[in-house]
Amino acid sequence: MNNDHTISMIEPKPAIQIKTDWVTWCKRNLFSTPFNTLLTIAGALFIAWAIPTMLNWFIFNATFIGQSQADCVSNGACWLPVVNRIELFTYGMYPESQQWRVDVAFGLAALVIPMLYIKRINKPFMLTYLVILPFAMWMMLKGGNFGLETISTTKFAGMMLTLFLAIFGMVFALPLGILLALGRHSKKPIIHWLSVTYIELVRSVPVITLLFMASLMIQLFLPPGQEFDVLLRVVAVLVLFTAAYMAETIRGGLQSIPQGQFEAAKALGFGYWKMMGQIILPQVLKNSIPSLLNQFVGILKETTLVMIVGVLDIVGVASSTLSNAKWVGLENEMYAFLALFFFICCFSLSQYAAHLERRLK
Amino acid sequence: MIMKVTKGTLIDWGQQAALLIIVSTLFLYLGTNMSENIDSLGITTGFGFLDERAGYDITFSLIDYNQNDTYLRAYWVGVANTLLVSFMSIIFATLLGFIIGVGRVSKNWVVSKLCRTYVELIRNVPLVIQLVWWYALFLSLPAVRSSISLADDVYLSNRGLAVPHVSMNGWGVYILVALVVSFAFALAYRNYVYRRSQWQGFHPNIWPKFALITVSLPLLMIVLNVLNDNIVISTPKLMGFNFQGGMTIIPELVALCIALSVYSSSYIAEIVRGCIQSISSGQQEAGKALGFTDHNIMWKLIVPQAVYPMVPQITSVYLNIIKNSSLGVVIGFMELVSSTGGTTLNNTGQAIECILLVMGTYCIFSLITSLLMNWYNSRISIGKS
Repeated sequence: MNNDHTISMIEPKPAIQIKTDWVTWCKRNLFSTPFNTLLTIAGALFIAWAIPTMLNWFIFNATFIGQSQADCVSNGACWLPVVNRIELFTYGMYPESQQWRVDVAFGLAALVIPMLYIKRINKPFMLTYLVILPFAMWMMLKGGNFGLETISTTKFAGMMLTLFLAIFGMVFALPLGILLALGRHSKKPIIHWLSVTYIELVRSVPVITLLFMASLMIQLFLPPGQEFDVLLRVVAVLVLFTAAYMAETIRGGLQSIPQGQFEAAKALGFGYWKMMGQIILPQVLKNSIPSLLNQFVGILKETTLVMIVGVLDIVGVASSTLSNAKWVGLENEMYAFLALFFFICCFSLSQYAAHLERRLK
Repeated sequence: MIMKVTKGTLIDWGQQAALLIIVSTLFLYLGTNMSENIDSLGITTGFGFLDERAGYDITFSLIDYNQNDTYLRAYWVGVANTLLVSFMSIIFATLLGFIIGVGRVSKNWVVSKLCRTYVELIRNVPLVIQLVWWYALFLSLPAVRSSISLADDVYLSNRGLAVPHVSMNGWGVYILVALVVSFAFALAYRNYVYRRSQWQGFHPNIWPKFALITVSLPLLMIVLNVLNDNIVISTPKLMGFNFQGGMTIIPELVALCIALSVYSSSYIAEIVRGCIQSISSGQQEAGKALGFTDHNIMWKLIVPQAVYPMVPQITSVYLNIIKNSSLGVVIGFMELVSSTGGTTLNNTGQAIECILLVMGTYCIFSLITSLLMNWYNSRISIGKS
């Protein structure tokens, strides 16, 4: 009997090499099936056609220097209305000597964006900043105190008005939105149903009807003889409207807080406001920063509607430029410029929001 | 049941009563202001003005309308136009959104990057700007005499899109009835087959037959009517400075429709992408292990599972389409907001009534949509459990 228990080993095979070179990548991602190959070729042809055409129109064949439309002789874009009226587009009718005030005001607002990035920021400081911000901005823009010249709101126009509406709409909608969300979350029937009615009513009508209401109806609801600045009316509508949407965002955040947090707070003897203010809301707000930023992008886009009630935001300035006999017929350039402006603002903000969201997880 | 009255419940009700009092005082205050203002301006209130002669023209309407009709009729024209433009945009946006969304998760690098560029470009530019741009493009098209022919009898010019017109001569209703009847037959057939195959564990694929039954009766009626000249198709012919015959879809409608579809399709694409990606990759691997082709994994395995979570989100996009169709007022398309909220309001000065009417109508639209949504949700959740 052979007791030799030698186990014959199979020669070890080398590990499968997963090729990572670009040929394999191309094979896998571009030419895996005949249909895919066809799509790739069609897409590549489209890109090869579109990018040079666009670049030529936007930059290489475009006219940047000149005085009137007669200077636009090439077949590219005619950027002269934008170049010649850039002041009007950015600062509106704001007096030239005072334009630094606009820069300061929006600089203050822009500081919020990097602040959101700092994880260990002092929260009371941040909140105080947000509370003071609109008043500081209003003081800077409108003037009247601290030796600043008073400037009528009819001078507000263009890009600064667009940003002004969006920032004010956002900042004032935040507290209202939080209250509405708490109201909807509340178990007390009257508070709950009042909040639900408000939120659902506002969300089910188009913004335009609300703006029409602001421009035509608010006057009727005020005490006789009282005038109300059209700009403030528009801001009020933006605030009331945004608050309803924001309430839903914050409610989503409230629902994602585990029930244990509420119970723990109650067990420790916290009252309602202490529980919400010190335990629940800080978590909710921190988690909803990305969605709130996206909401800001939303308002920024919605502000374009104020043109309909005759407020001269950047779209209004553009359409007044188009109706100027000097620049008639330059629709493509004008709208491309507007689209570019909004694209840059909205895209960068939403990418930033997406980045913050990834970091939260 | 006797409720125990404690200090807590008393405070609760006290708070709520206080809130109620504050809100009602606010409304009372606004109401008294309003009635004072209305008295001093001499405006008559009430919806009586709706029976007066409207006196303005609407270039495009689905129902018969001329300027001697009442404001009420003009309101219905607006409602019909809003619904028409929303309906068309919903269909196009869904188709486009699905294609882009599936392209976004495609393994083909070029395709997915192109789709991503599309989504980001469209989503980050306000709808108003896109709308006025499309409208300007349409107005800059060649004049009628040198219009572009897209297909046989379809012409594009700065007056709009001229397409063949089918005049039903009253048969439209009967064909619609035939469609409903044959659809009922098809449903009955489906139930019959499903009941018979209950114990097989799977159902035979009956959709081709289902579709065939549904279209059979209406198609038969259409063919017979066309042969009998009851249904006449008129094609647009260029005569002088304008088209004779056919039907011209005005540029406002086309621009609004395209802008809404394109804008909303980017949102739908993102929803489709999100839902497809939320189906775990294990499903894909399982499909591969079972020898499914890539195409079948996508369309038979992933998409059917991704549809359920998509539905509520896509419904909110549809609601947004209905609300955004109010932007027609920017380019002068006579939908609800520009007919009742715009021209009627300006002619009559009945601001409160007109705006209430418009808002109420939109509220009803969203109420109906969310009711349908809830009904659908409860249906699929029963099916799941």
